[in-house]
Amino acid sequence: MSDRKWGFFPFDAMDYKAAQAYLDRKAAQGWVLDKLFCRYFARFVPADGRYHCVDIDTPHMFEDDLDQNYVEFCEDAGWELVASPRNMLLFRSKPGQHPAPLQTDEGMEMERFWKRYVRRNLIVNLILLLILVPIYVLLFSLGRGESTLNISELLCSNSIFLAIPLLLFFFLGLLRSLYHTAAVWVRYRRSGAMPRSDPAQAWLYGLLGFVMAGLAILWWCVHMADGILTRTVDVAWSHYSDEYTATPELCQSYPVITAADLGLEYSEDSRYLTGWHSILVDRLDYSEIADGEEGATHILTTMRYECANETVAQWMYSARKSETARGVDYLWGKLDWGETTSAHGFDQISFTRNNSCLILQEGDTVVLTEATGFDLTEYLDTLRERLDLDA
Amino acid sequence: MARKKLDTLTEQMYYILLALTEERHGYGIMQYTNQLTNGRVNIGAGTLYALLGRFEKENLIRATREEEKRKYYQLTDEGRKILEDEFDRLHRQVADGACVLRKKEGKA
Repeated sequence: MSDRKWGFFPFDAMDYKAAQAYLDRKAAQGWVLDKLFCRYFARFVPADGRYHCVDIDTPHMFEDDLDQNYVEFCEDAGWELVASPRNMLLFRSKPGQHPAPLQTDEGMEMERFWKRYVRRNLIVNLILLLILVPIYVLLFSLGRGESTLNISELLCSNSIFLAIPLLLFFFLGLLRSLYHTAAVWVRYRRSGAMPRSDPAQAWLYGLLGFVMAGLAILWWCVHMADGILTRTVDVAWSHYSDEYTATPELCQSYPVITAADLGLEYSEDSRYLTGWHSILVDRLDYSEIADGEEGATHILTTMRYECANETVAQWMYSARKSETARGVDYLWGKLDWGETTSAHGFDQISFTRNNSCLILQEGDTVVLTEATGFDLTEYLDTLRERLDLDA
Repeated sequence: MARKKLDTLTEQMYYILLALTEERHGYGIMQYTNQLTNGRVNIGAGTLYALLGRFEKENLIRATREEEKRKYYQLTDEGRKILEDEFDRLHRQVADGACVLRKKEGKA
């Protein structure tokens, strides 16, 4: 017999009787719970004659904020607390002791379970559902109509992208929890005794919670990393010093339209170039104010999206065209786009009415560029070369 | 209304109050009950903890002292009265039972 054994412990407090049955099986095989890692992974060690007791915890704000008096009281009676995951207290009997189960009055146990956990769980779930449903309705209704919902930002952000499955799992988890709570209550009303959960259902329910928790942690990590670890270029006035880093030479080394490409003079410091990548898109944003003839000034902008594939590029093209027509995520106002065509050797291209701005898709690349005061139809060869687009 | 619930004591409530005719701590109550009933009545620590809290709130028992993290309790006058009332009620129940059952057995 090895000296350790691992098990997956996904049970929720609603199924604490199923958790008890699981630990009873382990004890019958000669294993006692030693530690719970990350609230889900149970480590067992060999121990004959020791057994477990799963109890419902008192409601508290933080995971470790236990009722120490109760824990000490149980300790005195021969029960050692091993872990306290998800509103449960997992005890094991002390070596050589055979304490009575913690709850020896079924009526009180049910009352306690209902008051401490089920009722609270129902209320919390209903409140969350009441908050979540309007948010969903708002998001999806905005997505369909004139809205500020930014699809291109969704494609460019790892964390927003991951938030979709997270919200979906959260919503499913809430519905599952409500159904489960109601089912327990109905069974209790019918039998008048503590309902025993179906082990397979309890396990699956716990697994759903585990996946949700995993996604939440992943989302949090990605969200924290977004914009820091995913930043590929960030030049302008530095965030960390007063030194100006967006030099004409540096900006020209990137596939963006700069003053020199259109025969203009560079200004001293009116440029910025930023870039970051996501799972689906590598994005590059460039903007500068350049000096023209007779004191004229021109705003030059390039927004470039290297997409994971052509399909994503097509989504991005449509999204950016529609968003910039509404002035979303575009510094210089709303753009008045004409029809999309496949002219000039590009997969898709569209110009604004005055031809100073264009958006194009070529393969897996989408570029939106503007040069105020210019007719960009006259600069297509320059654009193709500088934007590094295949013909 | 909470007081009303204790008009009839459960078996475990009865033995807890009985144990607290003398000053005892939680584990002491469990041991005493187990010995007194020859292991027939076992009070779980969770149940005992909840009942001690409830009895203390309803002034049937009071905490007397705390020693080595163990809290000691003893019956109050009101608790003693409840216990005596319950004892009388049980006694009458047993007497009524004896009157009917033993009489029948005597006839048979």
